[in-house]
Amino acid sequence: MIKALLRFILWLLLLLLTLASASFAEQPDMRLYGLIIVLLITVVKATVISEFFMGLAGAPWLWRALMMAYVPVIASTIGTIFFLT
Amino acid sequence: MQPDKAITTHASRQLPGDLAMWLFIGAELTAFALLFMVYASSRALHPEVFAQGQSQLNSQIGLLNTMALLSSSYFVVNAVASVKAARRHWAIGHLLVAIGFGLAYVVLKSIEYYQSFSAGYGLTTNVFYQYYFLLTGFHYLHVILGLILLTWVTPKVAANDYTVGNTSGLESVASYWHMVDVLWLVLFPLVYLLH
Repeated sequence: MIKALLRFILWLLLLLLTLASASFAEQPDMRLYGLIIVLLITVVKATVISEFFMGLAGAPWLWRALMMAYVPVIASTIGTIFFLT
Repeated sequence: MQPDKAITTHASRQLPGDLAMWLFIGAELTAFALLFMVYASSRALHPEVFAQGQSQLNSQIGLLNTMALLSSSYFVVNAVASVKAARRHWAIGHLLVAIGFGLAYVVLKSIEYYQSFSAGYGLTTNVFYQYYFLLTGFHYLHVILGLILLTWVTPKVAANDYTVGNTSGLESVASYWHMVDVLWLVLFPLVYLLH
């Protein structure tokens, strides 16, 4: 029951974070901060999916680390490329 | 007592689903990572073309699609939990709702493609549309494969093929579906939000 409630709260959190990222991205006066916030939100959402939906919280550390690192590495690379151009 | 406890803890850490599926997921994530980098690098080389192309996209559909895939993932994880709790009927219901959200994604994405093609944009229009259709189209095919897999496991759940201690096949399909979701979580800001 508690796990079901946690999943429901996380689902609502994911939806709210999605709306927040769309809102931040539309702010014309905060291009750099908007970029950072949108990418950070993406990392948080992907972490929630990996840990709680995929169930990697109980997986061997190597697989968990690979999955946990995937989106942060991609997001920071994209962020760096976007920042430099 | 401590070493025994450590061994037990280590042994109890298991991948959800089959190792083969996780190797496949690893290969898919690598392929998409390369595509993301190519897209971002190309955008750096042609910022005006990408800015113009992105302004033509329907970000509302992108937003709705994100909601649809997140919701579908939520119902899939509920389906797996229901099977583990021996609540087969709940699991079937959750899977059907998850498939419904997945279909909503396919319909919305198809509408978006139709709008783009009707407006005269295609793979050969410019470098932005080339990568836009390549990235989103590749992901679209993954969503369709995921839907086929979810549709395949639903009658197996109904037939009681997955039981409390035997959910590996279902978990493999669920893991694939969550991977499709994670990929879209990167695609959505990359293509629609970050101008």
